[in-house]
Amino acid sequence: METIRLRNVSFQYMGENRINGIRNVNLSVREGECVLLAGVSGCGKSTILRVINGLAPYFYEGNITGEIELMGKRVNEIPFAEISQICGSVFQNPRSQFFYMNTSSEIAFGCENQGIPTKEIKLRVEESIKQFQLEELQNRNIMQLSGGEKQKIAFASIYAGRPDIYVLDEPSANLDFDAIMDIKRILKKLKEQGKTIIIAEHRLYYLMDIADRVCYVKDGNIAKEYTIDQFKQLSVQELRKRGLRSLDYRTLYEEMCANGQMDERTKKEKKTNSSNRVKHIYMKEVSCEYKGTAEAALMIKECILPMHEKIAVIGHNGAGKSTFMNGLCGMNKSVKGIYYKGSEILSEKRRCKESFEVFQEVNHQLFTSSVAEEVSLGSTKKSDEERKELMGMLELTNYADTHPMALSGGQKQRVAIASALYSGRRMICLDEPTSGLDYHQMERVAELIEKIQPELDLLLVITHDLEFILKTCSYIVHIEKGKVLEQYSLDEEGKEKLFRFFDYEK
Amino acid sequence: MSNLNPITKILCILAVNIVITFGVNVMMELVMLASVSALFWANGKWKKSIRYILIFLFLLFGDKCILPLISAAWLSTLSCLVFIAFRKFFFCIMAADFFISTTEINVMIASMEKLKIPEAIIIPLAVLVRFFPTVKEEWNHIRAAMRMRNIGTGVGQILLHPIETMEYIIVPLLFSTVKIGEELAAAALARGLGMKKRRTNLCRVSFKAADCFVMICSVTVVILSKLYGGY
Repeated sequence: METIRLRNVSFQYMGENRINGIRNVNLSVREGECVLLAGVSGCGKSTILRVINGLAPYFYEGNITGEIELMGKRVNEIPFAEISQICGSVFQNPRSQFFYMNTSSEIAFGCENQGIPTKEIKLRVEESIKQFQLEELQNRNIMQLSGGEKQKIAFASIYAGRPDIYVLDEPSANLDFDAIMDIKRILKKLKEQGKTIIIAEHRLYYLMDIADRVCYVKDGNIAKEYTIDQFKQLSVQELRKRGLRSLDYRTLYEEMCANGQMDERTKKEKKTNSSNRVKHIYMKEVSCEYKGTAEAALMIKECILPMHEKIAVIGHNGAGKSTFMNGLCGMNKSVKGIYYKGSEILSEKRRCKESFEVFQEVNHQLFTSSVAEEVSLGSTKKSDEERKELMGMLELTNYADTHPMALSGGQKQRVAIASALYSGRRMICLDEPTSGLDYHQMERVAELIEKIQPELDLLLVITHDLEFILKTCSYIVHIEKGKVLEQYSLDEEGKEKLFRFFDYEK
Repeated sequence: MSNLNPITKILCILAVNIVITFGVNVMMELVMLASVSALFWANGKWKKSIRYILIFLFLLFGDKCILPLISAAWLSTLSCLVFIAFRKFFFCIMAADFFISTTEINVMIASMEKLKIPEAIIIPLAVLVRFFPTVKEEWNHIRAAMRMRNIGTGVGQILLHPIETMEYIIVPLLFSTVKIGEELAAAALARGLGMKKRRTNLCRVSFKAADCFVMICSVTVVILSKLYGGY
């Protein structure tokens, strides 16, 4: 039976957002099938999903034409609110899709809206918790959960409503490696139960043994449909040409073995670096303990961070990567330790002054009404020339008078970095700069890293993105349980170690 | 007394506001401070209540001991604003904080549904209450970012450039909360909020002895303030 059917569906957003609409989309999904929508950012994947779950045009206003059928019923004959009984939706931002503050109440939220009797809701909530193994998350304050845990609660909540169709809009965008594996298990379970799944994603690898079909969406249209086997045949180059991420870390491994190009680059960099005098940031007795927790969040006897490298900080969820970074940048008062640069001691105040963090949510760190103003904010320097040069380097010249909030995500990142460079900071840390990005966008972040690295003493990136690490990083710091487990240069041997860490099937 | 009905709490806020509007003397202020602190205390928020008591004592101290010593006109105006005018709003903030920090949204919705208040009022109010913790979370991130950029952190900076500082806080806060608000609304709608059918609510609410007690106290405080509290 067909669960979703789109016939010549076009949608045009009202107002300024003209590009992201869709035109003449035809799609038919059978019961129990999992269809993956892949494509670059802004290609219209999300719009297709919104047309299916009714948010377009009910919430996102615009013009819709064509025919949409869900479970054999035409959508315009179903009142919007009732679509939620047929279609359950999970979105990308875990912070903004729960309504209650308590996990168990939240799981019941959808059922309450449907007016299901109390007794039945209680049974369903229990079943959701059991199905997704959420016993530990019962009756907790949602605000205190990690992004991955929040996302699991979102799935459980949808599941309790017993929809036939699951509409998922980049559910992994803000998640780390382990959380994605949890989402994968949930999707497998849904599929076993014969639910229809339609999912838009940038991270493709975790869906390869779940999806049945892949629709490549381009410019608001389904440009090509592949069966999963056909899709898996695409080479890395073909995927990249389409802006798609790799399907399997093993292909990256093979690619790496095939060309030694990366190594030459690292070698070359090593040579240029050898002329610098101070080569390391040395950390000693760095620790961080929060009251009321048994284990220290950070406990590092000593650690040497090489300067003039592109350092990737890896580690599992909750390993202490962010605490490590915040401590280094003088942003976390609970982190105590001694930091040296050569023989100089870097006090907390000095670290705070000389370093800069680029947040995952870069919107939090843009304050003014124009890019030019933003770059010079917080700096005592008043050199227009230098600012212009800097903005030229980061491709921001044309945006000098634009409001930072009107820029794309990547441009915002560059504005934040420009402000850091302008105020003479020589240690820059980035937190997950590539989460939720397509291949082209990721490539541009990698280029940015290459570009700013010569201006810096220390460059640190917290990331879970193997493809990104291989593309640009030259050094790895692996943190687990608040300790530095390993640190190594990304040479042949280092890469073997890196792959072992990312081997998610072990 | 820990699980008060939200309606009772709303009545408390009302009582506090009425008393403040009538005007109060120091004696009455202390009575209110004690009552609202007791509510915090009963809900296990003793840290918060101590913080409020300390702030109040500081304001009172400023009013009675520092203010008479100040001779410069502009400084005394400013101090009056902080020590006297703000002290009046202080209780409103305290009562509202008590409501927000101790009320779960589902309980609030349930109690209002019981009183047959229409959904058109309940849902926006619920969204409003839902939003406070989000704003607080965003604010923490933004404050960290401001500290990192060296802007608007010190007291000096805030006093010297109050408007600029406000701008730096409000621009990112507004943008991020608007975005979250939009996503939240989309998610809630996609999960069937606002369906024509009658909602179920898992939460059971009732009026208990504690509610009656707190309500009687509120009314008593209002009456007392009318009789003895004025200037």
